[in-house]
Amino acid sequence: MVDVTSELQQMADDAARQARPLAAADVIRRGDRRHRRSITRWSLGGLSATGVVAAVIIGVIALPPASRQASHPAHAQLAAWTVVKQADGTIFVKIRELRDPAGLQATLRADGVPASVVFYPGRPEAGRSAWSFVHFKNNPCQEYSAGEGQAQNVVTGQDPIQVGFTVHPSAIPSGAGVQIVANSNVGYYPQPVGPMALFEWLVQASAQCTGS
Amino acid sequence: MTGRMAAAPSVPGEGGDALDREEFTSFYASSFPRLVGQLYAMTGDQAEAQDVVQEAFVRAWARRSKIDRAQAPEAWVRVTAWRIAASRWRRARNGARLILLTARPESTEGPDPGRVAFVDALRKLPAEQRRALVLYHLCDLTVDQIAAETGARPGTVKARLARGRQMLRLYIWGAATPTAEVTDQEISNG
Repeated sequence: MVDVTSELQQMADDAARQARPLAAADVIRRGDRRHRRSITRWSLGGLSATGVVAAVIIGVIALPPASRQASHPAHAQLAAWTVVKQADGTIFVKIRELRDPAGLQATLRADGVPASVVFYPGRPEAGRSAWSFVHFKNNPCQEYSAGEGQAQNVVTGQDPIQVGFTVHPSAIPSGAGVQIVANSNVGYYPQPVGPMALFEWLVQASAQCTGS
Repeated sequence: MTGRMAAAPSVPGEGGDALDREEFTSFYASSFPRLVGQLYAMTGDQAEAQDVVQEAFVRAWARRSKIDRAQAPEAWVRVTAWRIAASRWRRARNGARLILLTARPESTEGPDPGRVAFVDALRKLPAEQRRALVLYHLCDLTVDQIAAETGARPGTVKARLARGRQMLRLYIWGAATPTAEVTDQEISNG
C-alpha cells in the first residue's frame, strides 16, 4: 500500500532542502518596484478570452492645473469610461471598456490633465508582463528619470476596475507626466476573462507624448 | 479558459492588518522552503516550483496592503504560485505534456527506487488531482478547505482525491499507463 502522505512529505522535504530563495531584501525591493509601477490586474467583462489585446496609454503631463478650464460638464458619463472633476482638483476616472481613447484624452486635458490615450493594437508575447507595453515600438513617451517612487502619488486607487482611479495633477513633478498603460489578457495572471493591467509611471513632458 | 480558476487568493477587505517589513521577512524565511516543497509536489518541476513561489512572494509584498495576517498569507502565496504555474502551462501548447517530458527526476529523487516510482507516478496524474492530493496529504487541508482554495465543489475534490490515489497505486504497480493529459480545461476549472 502506498503511504501517500509519507511519500509526499519526503518529496516536499527534499525540495524544501534544496530551495535557494532570494534574499528577503531583494524580494521586498522587487515588490516595491512592482508596487510603484502599480501593476494592477483588472478583470475586464465583455472581452474575449481568445487573446484580443489592447492597451490604453494615458500620458499625463505636468502643467499647472489652474491654467486650464474644464471644457465639459463636471460629470461626463460616457459608455466606455467616466471622468469626474472633483472639488479638490483631482480627477476621477473609471474605464469600463477600451474604447474611444481620443475622447478620454480630450476630456482629461480639458480638466487640466493633459493626457494622451492610445490603444495599443499589438498582441503581447507570451509571458510578458503589462509594464513591458510601455516599451512598445511607437510609444511617444519616455520615462521621467527623476520620477522613481512618485507615480503612486499621481494616480491612486486600490481597485481601478471596480472603483476607478484618481489622478492628482498637483502631485505631478514639474516637467514630468505620468504614463498609464492598461492592457487586457496578457495571459500572465489567470482570470476567468482577460485580465487588464494598469501600469503607471512618470514620463518626460514632450510634444510627442501629450501634444503640448 | 472557462470557469473560475480558484476562489483564493481571498484578498481581505480594505483596512486589514497588513504585514510589515519585519513580519514579511520572517514569513518569507519560514514559508519559502515549505511552499517550494508543496509546489514541487504539485507541479513536478523543482525549478519551476522555486520560480513561481519566488514570484508569488514578490507579488505578496507588492500587494501587502491587501493581505491580512489573519487571512492566511501562506495560502495566498500558494494559490498565487499555483496560478502562475498554471498560467505558464496555458501559454505553452501541450504545456502539461511538456512538463512531464522535461521533468528531471534525478535532480530531486533519492536513490530509493520506491521514491522514484512514486514521483514518476505522481507526475502522470492530471494537475488538479496532484494539487488535491498535495493539499490534502501535505498541507493538511480538509476537503472543504481544498474546495475553497481551488474553486471546485467538495464532491469534485473528493473525486479527484479518490481517483488520484487509485491512479497512483496503479502506476506504481505498473498496472496502468497514463491516459489523461493535463488540459487547459482541467487547470482552469481548478
